[in-house]
Amino acid sequence: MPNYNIKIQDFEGPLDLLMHLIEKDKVDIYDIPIVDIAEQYITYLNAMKEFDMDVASDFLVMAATLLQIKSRMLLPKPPVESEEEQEDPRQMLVDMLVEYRKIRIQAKMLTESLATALGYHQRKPMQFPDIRKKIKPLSFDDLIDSLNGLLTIQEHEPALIERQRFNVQDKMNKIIDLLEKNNHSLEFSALITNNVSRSEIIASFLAILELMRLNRITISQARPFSTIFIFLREDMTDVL
Amino acid sequence: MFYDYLRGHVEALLFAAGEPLSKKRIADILQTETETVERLIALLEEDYRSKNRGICVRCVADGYQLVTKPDFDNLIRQLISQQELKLSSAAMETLAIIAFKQPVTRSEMEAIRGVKVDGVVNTLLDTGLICEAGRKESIGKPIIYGTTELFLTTFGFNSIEDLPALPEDLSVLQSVKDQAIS
Repeated sequence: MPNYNIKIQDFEGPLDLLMHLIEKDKVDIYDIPIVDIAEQYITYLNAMKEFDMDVASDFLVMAATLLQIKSRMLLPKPPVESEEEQEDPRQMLVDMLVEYRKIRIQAKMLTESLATALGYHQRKPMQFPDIRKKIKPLSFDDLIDSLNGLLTIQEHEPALIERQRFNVQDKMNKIIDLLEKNNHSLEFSALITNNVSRSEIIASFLAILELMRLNRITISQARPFSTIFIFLREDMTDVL
Repeated sequence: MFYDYLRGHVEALLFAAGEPLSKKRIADILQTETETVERLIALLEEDYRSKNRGICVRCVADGYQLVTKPDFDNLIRQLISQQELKLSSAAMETLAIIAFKQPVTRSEMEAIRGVKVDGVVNTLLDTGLICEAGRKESIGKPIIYGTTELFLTTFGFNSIEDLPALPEDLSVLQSVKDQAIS
């Protein structure tokens, strides 16, 4: 396999990457060597994954498109029935690339226009302070009415926010404890129904979810609606 | 020229306005014809041509505006701490699509760029360079976008027709990326 000198850079999208590959090899955009380009493209995507870069779905769609075009090119062509020319399977891609390249050139031209235009500085429009502010004609009665309105506002009791009595972290430790004492397994129902108040149940449930997320425990259920079992994981990685 | 005395009037109006004034507006205020305004502007431009003058008239957004000459760009920047308009290359490409192909829908933009444009379009809307220009009469009645007057003023164009045309020789496979679109 030829050694592609892959310089990992941030491409804005699949077309950006394709343009780079085409320009790098000075390929004629109207006669793209699909097999070669598709291979380079996919190699690049794999390299991106290796470097732990997120490959956006748009890139994958393009990879699929390239492969589809490649397979159409490789398949033997059916006998030509009409006078029409066979449509080049690469045509759609070529059109997209040509359009994209035009836009890139236009974007560059706009950037230059902007740079030039920024050399000219303008003034903000002059502000004329409007001293005569218009005041609605109001009467003394209006004033009394609004004062009345203020005085009749009821006093509200300050709302009482109860302190959360059950700490999820504590529950997590408690559950691990219980599991260790109980031969590393417990029934889910046992853990939950032990609790008295609703907030305690919620705290326990959250603790179980968190422990699962941290890979401290696993759960299993034989069939839908059968007993759920919770197991302590042996291969503990100290994350807590 | 008997209307020569109006030269100061035009200058004063442009100075106070700051932003571009259309020749119709100027003509209405001065109670004269647009052709007269054009000639007055030409006279002003003549006055400003000398190297001793720091300001000039530019034609943008279908109007006239008094601005400092680009020769004094760095000088003015010392005076004002202006928030420079910084557009990413993605934003610039999307803006180019809208500017050259308006009116255009989001999916039409996405078809050209090959990626989603939602974030970029929202950024451009925030800068005021583009705006919603109604809906397309096709299925789903998608919103169509166009450039604004602020776009014309910021980029120094008199109208959309003034946008630079593509160079004739498109086979120039010069890598556009090498010319840093910063």
